[in-house]
Amino acid sequence: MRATVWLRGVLVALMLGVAGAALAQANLEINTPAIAGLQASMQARHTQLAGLYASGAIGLTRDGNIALRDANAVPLAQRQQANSLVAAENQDRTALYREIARANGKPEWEGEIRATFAQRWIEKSQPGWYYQNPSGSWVRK
Amino acid sequence: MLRLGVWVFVALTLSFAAATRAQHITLSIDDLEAPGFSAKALKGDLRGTAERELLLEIGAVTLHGRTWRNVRVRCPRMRLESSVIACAEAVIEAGEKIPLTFTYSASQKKLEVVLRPASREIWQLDADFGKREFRVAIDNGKPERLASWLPPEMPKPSGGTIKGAITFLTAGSVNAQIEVDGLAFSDASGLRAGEKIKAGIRVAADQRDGVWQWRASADWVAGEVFWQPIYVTGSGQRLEAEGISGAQRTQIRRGSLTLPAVGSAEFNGVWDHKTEQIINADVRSTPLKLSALYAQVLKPFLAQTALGDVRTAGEVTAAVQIAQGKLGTVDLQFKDVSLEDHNRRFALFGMEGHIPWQQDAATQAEISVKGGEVLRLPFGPFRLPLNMRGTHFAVDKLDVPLLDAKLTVSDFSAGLAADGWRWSFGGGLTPVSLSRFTQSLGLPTMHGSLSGVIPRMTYEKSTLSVDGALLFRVFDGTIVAKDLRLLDPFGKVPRMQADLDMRNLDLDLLTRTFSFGNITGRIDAQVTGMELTNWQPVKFDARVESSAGDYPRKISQTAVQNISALGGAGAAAAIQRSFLRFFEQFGYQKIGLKCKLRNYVCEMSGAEDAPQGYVIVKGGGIPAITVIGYNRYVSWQELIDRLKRIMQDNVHAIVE
Repeated sequence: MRATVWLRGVLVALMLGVAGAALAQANLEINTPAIAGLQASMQARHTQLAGLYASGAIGLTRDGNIALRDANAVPLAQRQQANSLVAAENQDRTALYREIARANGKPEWEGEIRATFAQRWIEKSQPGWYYQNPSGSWVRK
Repeated sequence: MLRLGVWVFVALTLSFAAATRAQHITLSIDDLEAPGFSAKALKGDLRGTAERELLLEIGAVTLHGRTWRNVRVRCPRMRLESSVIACAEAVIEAGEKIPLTFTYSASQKKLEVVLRPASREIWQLDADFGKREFRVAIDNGKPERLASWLPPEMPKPSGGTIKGAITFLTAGSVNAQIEVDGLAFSDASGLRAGEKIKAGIRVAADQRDGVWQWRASADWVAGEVFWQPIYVTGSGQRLEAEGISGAQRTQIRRGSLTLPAVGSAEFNGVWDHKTEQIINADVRSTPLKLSALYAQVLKPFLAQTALGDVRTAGEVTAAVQIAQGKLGTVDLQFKDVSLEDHNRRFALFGMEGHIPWQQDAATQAEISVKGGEVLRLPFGPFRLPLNMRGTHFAVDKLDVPLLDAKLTVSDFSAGLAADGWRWSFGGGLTPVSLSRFTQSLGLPTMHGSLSGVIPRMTYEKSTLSVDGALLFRVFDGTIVAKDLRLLDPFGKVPRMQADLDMRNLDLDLLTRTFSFGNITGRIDAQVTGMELTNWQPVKFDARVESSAGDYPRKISQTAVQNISALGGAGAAAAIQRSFLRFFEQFGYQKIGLKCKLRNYVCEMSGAEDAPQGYVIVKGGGIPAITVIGYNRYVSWQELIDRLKRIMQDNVHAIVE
């Protein structure tokens, strides 16, 4: 529950425009049916991902995705599912960044929107979760 | 190394034999080298007469890449006779202290070394230097002791026990029989790991003229393995193979793999060591149970495809040949195969057939399907004559019964290009009962029939496009879709672009269908520049207006109220306050409504402008009514919500 609140918090914070200077003109508040659909899909999945963040099995990557960083933290029989969850989440995230850029009429901003999200996911993540620092090493928050 | 071992022991025997009368003898060797073995800074120290104590210190010993430093062997009571050297209670110190016994018989040229690293754990070496035969027997061995000998890229064992024996003759013969119980292994990432594994392996190999002839079998009784992306539990899987291995290649002459719940397959082939590629292979399966094959093997590989989450049934028999390093033939036979998407997007039932695919020859597959459904729309039996040549597939004509009609697909062609799959087809749909069609899709029941012509539909570079116009006949009129493009149709956020042109739709049929109140007449509608994202409209210019021509034009009071209600709740109430409420229906001259959708807001206008508003229904005849809209800008979502409310309210009224 707390994790879902976290996810919503990050999304709301981003949507309210806590963006970098490069995105000063971008309307991150924009909420199209496609964006709403992706957010709903991510929120539904987050209940399954929360435990994996907490155990350190998955972490937030520096490029705005998530990755399975230590499968040993997951029981053997559940590693396949953890893999699938990570792949599905990254598909949603990629689509989300693209849709926000497209809804702004600036598809070329996708990379900057991704970078802004990457930074915020990490800043808003909970203590104990893992994230990738700028050099790509895993760090426990 | 083995030859060196003989030399060392013979040399030591001579030294120690000569020293039997001495009280203190020391031995020092700087360097010992042999393939796979080296030892540096060896020092031997033997003292005493009646009871001799041996202390052997080695600065560094390396065995097959693994190095131990400061290794010490201490034997407090050493038997040192002319033909026997033995110690029953030695200890070897190499990181840990391991009790050790050894006996060397010079007359028989035999050595026995027994290591007992833990209670009940025994590693025993029996060497017969005369026969050049060596045997390692293990009982309750900890597999993690072998970890450092394994190549770095391999997962490392971390638990369980090993039992078994390996015998080899230096003349070129190996026999091994090993069983593991409770084996656990993993690589650092945990993506290749196993737990609680109970399994056995048997290998017999003989070397002649530099070529090994071998036979091997493995049985997996219990435990679980995750080898990304596959997770399998041990349930009696068995692998058997025999073949020959030379420096360049390994040839499997005969092999078989049995997966208890799935079926089995026999195989043979050639593996090139240098290129690490299969040169030739021939694999033939027995009928395989598709449900178990899908669950155990196929599912994780199909995760992001349409077949990622399906219920499967039936049997598939497969034969695959690889020749000259390339896939040559794939032969598949289906028996009563069913595929059913868990999200109910599609289903195929009772699929039978034979697909004899060849890389370099044209062949034809014959597939028959008893039935199925697409998006809850049931279809009947059909036969699929599929022409194949390499990665090009074609169907001249396919007729699929769809409800009471027939869907025809003609000139289907698919091929694999550098940027992915491309396919195209044309076709049409004979008139299908709209009431059955809409009921199957869970839509409001429509009356009349639907038929259509598909000129040419093409898919390439993740885009589905229609060449020409797509024509449907509904509500006694026509709908033509032009410039239809579906971008990324199988992706997370599909997008659609099209222009729609609807002509002469029968308003009576249309309004009955949607419980909107009754309107008699005909309308045309144009939707230009339509863009849908995730099947939701984001942009279009739409106009609905009465069709040209003479026809009866009547509108019921309910329909007037509903049209008014689209403009807001207050408008509908106005009718109830006037004398108009006494009339059931009114005449009208024309109906017109336009919506320009941008940023989820509909900019409304009507058949013509009116003071502070726009005319939606312009009255005509007696009694006549004119409906004027005043809201110029309406949120699209609000408009949809109002429409839903109207239809729900009206449906309720009918039920009552």
